[in-house]
Amino acid sequence: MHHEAIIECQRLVPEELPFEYHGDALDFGIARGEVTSIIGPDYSGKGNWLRTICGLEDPLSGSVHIKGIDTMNLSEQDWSMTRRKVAYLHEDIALLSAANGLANVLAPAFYHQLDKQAEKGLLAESALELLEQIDPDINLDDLPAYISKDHQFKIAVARALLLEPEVLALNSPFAHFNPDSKHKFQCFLNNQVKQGLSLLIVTHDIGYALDISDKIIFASRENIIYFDSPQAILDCDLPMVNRFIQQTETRSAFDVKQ
Amino acid sequence: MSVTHIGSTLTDWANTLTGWPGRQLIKNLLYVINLVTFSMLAMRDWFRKNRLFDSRSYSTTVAQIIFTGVDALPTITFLGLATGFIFTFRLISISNTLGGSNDIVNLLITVICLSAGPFLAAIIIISRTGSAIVVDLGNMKLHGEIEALENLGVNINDYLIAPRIISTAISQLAITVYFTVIALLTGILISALFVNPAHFDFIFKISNSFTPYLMSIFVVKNIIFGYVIATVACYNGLRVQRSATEVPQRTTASIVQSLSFVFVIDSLLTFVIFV
Repeated sequence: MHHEAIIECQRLVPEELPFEYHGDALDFGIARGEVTSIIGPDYSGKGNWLRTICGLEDPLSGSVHIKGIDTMNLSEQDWSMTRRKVAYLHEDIALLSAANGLANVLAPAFYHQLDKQAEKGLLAESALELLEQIDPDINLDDLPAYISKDHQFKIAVARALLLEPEVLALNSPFAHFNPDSKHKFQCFLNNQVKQGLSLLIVTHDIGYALDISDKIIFASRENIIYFDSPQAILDCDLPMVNRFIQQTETRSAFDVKQ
Repeated sequence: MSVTHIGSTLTDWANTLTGWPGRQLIKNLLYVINLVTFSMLAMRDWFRKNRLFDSRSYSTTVAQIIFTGVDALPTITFLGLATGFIFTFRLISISNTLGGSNDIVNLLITVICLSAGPFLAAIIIISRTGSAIVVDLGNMKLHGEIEALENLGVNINDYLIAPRIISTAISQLAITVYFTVIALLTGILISALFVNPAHFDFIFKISNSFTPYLMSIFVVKNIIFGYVIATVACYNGLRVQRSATEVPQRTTASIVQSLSFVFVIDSLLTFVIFV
């Protein structure tokens, strides 16, 4: 694993936070194969932080560099490249309603001419292989309207991964999953990380975040705190962080009991 | 109320009344500038990458041509037959009363080929394709499909807009050619069969009189119509923001605007060409 940053944020504060923010700016970078989780209470703007880190929202202050390019000064080509290198998906990501599952996976890859780099049949084969790894039960012949939400999300993940991104940014990815399919999908993500994919994830599943992450960002309405390891957040003595961890632990225990 | 106050109120009313046409003119001019910029950007992105028959945009273009052109053929055929019977047949059958056959040939070319054909085809394309494009793009925007594509580095201008504009322009031309041929042949055949067999000659007379100049007017007019209809439809489709109620609103707006543009462009072209 080499540690050249794919995304580098300096003194970053998002512009579109839905509340007035007087906390610290964020300095951090994400390198190849690293996993960073953004956790925190509800309505703390985690999605805005994620979108700003991915270069999808403008920063209020500071900068984001993706592959060394400032996201505020992107040429058309750079924009296309950054969007391919950092794939962003949220829980309700939409597929093309007029195309079936497989066509949805292949459409952006055809657009980016990946079929010219590999033969057309090979691209379809790669897509099917990827989908098989994610979930072999996905019905690829139906239109998205007839596909369940969790399968739609998995198709969207396959669509993004077929473009061979370096960072996969997921905003609340497990929202539509039942416990079994969530576990399988988490295993798939773990395998992708082992193969060198970087993961940037907003999640309410603190156990998973602590388990998989190399770095953790805690976002609240008051402040953003960066922890360089899961242990660092567990050792943290800040009341708001402790309160959040305790609450989620209590909630998890309650869920298990239920 | 003082005289000064009444005078001031009257002046305000007068300003409002005289200012209204000016404001409307500026608003409409800005709208046209927006449309032109929108379509130019889409075409720039298309031509910059030279993708006329590229696999990425080829399928969208062909699908749109099939929907706009091929699927509209039954309606166009019916309209062509009706127009042939109502106009072409009537004009040819009264040719002896009106004067020489050359006048009738000119009349047929002007009325059927250069006016009724493009106009009727445009109305069909506005009502079928234009409205379908607005609903399609509007729903894609509403459901976040466009945003999801953009987040994967797909340029919407190049992938969704330009193929629709190009294919609608091509389809408008093809549909008008088909309509014109049906309308002329129907009228000539009925007239030759039921009035005078010599009227078959109109086929050759019309084809001989359809000069390259008239042909180029025919082509340019239809391409402009198709280009404008698709541009207005795409522009309105992408103006849908968050509410599902915006889709029918933008569809209606697109139909009305396209019809207005077709009337205005037709008038302008008629003025430039024939006056």
